[in-house]
Amino acid sequence: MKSTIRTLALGTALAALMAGSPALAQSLTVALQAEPSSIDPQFATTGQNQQIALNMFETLVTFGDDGGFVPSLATEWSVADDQVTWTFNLREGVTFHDGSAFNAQDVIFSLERVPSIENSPAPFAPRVAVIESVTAVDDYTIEIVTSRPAPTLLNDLGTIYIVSDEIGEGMASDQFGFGDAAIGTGPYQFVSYTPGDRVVIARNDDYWGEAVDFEQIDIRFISSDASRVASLQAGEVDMIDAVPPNDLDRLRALDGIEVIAVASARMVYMGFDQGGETTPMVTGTDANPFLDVRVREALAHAIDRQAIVSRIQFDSGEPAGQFAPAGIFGHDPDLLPTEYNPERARELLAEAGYADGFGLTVHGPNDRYINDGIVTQTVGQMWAQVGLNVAVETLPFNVYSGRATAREFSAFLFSFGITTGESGLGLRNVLATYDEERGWGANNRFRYSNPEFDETLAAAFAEFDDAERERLLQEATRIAMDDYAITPLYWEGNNWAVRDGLIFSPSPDGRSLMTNLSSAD
Amino acid sequence: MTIASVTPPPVPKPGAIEGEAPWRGIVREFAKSWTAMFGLILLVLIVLIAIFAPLLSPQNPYDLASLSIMDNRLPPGETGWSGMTFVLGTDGQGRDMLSAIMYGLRISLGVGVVSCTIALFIGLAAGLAAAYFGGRVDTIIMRIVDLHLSFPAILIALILLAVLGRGIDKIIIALIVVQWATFARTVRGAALAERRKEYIEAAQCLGLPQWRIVFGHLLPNCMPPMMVIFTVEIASAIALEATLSFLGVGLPITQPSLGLLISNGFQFILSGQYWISVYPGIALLVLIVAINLVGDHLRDVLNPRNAQ
Repeated sequence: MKSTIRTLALGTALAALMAGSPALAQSLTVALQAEPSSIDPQFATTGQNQQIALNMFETLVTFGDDGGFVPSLATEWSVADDQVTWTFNLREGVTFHDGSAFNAQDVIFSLERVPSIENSPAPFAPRVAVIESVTAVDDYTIEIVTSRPAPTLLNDLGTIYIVSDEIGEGMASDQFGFGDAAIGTGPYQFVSYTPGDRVVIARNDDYWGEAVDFEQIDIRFISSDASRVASLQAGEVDMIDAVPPNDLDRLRALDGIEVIAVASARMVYMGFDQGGETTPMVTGTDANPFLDVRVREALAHAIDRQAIVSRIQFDSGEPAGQFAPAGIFGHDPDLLPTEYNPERARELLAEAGYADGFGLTVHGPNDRYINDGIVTQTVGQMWAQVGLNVAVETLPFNVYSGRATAREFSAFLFSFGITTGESGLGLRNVLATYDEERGWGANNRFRYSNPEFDETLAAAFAEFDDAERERLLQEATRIAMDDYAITPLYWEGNNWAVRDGLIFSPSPDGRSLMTNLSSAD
Repeated sequence: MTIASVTPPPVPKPGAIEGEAPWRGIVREFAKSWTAMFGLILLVLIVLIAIFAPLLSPQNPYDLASLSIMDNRLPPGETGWSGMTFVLGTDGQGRDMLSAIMYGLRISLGVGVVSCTIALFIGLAAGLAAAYFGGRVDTIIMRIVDLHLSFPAILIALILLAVLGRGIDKIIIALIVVQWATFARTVRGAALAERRKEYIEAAQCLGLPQWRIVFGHLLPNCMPPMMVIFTVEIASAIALEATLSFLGVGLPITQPSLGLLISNGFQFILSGQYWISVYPGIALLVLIVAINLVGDHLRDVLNPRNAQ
């Protein structure tokens, strides 16, 4: 009996050793949580679509790690003194996966195709709405004229994929899944797509840039967290994304598996209703306590952000004190998370006239963000500890978001994920004064309003000089944070796990890109 | 030939001794089964724990201010930063599992007993009316009951809670709606049998008012089967409440019942933190088994056919 166990143990150890060297193989299998809604790169701006498209398609410019722009299919660009005429020089010698040459006509075709996409749940069209005309100066130079000065044109163009004009007008998005239309210039090329199962991509040997390490990658879609983790452990797949935080410690302890956890640009925060003299979920006082900045400051001091990140998120993520994490344009390195100081919180509450606290129901979703229900309870717990009489209610997100937008809550958990590489859009949607006509403050569910903030942000949106624009964004952020407009909690973590022999270097956008995956050898 | 000679000799109550109150016989018969007594002792113990939970438990698990996130997911026997020892460990929120289970038993039992009692009264009224009046009244009531029983209980409860929302009152309402039909059907069956008996006829001949016949004569004679169903239904109400809480539609998250505790711990079970799910699961199992042991034996004792 004893020897059987020993043999078994030996066998397991051997198997673990052998399974630990997938890099020798030239083809990989990875498992991602979310499946794209279409292979058409111009169909939807959602993360799961883009992380597949980015392997096969390219844009004119890309975002660098420092938040600046890096040449891709365009090598140089400039804007004329009239602030509306942009000139782009295109890269020569680039070929599409079908062998045809890339030139100005493909760019014009791609930009004109964007508004014609039908039935998209998250269309790219608003991102090119400012473009009035695109003309080819010669085969490798284009001129874009905008209808008004658009300092953020590069941010928008950086997300528009260039497709080949060979596919012709009127190509429907669902035709891309069959292969004859999914023709890009990227480092990988399309092989096949089985809806609900996998996308297969192969190395583009004629790629203009640095060649990738793997001949073929099978990208499988496994939405169940437990199955995805089990597939990795069983050696069926070489990499997984969206590792559930509860499994991080266990996977970290395993031989042959490496965990990569970095903070993303999705900031989870608590919002306080500042929209009126009364607020629905507060009891024990007739006034709306959140109109008093001291109350908002007190509640910010009452939260131990590091404890939330380490105890609930298993050290994945990072405490937040502003919108944009480091590496995103508009991040202010001097703005630190509010210090955890319950004594100061009690003092401030007493100063504001709430020495005995007040009654408050805290709301949060329970199926949207990582461990969101537990985080909401913990925030309630920490506020109870500084003297508030707290109840906590968590709801499924589809119910929750509707009620939050209808302003039925007083203090509630929400998040905003930056996908454009800079903080401007987040500031405008979440913190700008709610203005339906202007489209500002669309996600300002708590109705924070400070004219000084609005002016500074508007100035940033009109500024062409990058350094000055970043300074204005930082200043706007500081105004809002000095007002304790919201209480940032943390940047949610993105977690991946790979088998030994593979290296995954995540980019700031947090996407599971195959182009970020390389072999250790 | 006298009338008296036709009357069948009275069926002796199980274990009955001449001149003794009938309930004493039932008790003695019940006490003969050691499994039933074991169940009863367990049940009494659980009820006592549930009633005195605030005095017995080391922590008030529903008071957010007394929890600390720094103590979360501690294994059984570990001591937290506040110096408190957690005999059964803590959950993801830093709640002492032992206290949470005691309070959870309180909720489970409370919800089960309250909802079953109300459902029993509604079922009794509907079932007695159907049996006594017969005809169209019977048809209408019993078709509603049939329709009701043809849907799975969990489905009805889920739909109701989706409409009503969360909260202990809502879950009690849902359980009442789910259970009254079972009581109604049982009491109708029992009452139909009783109704044909001579003492009812005799009462009618005496010209007693209908309410007096129904509540004074029919009802008491239908009670034995109802008591059995009542205990069994409490167990199934508790199980249903736990299921609903496990599915996340039951009680508020800051006041976990046993089902919600199990559900909360479920996400940690693969990471080896078994105690968050397993101990509330054992508590739920023991509670339901105890009630069923008592209920099963009560049925044996009260069933005249089983009498030797």
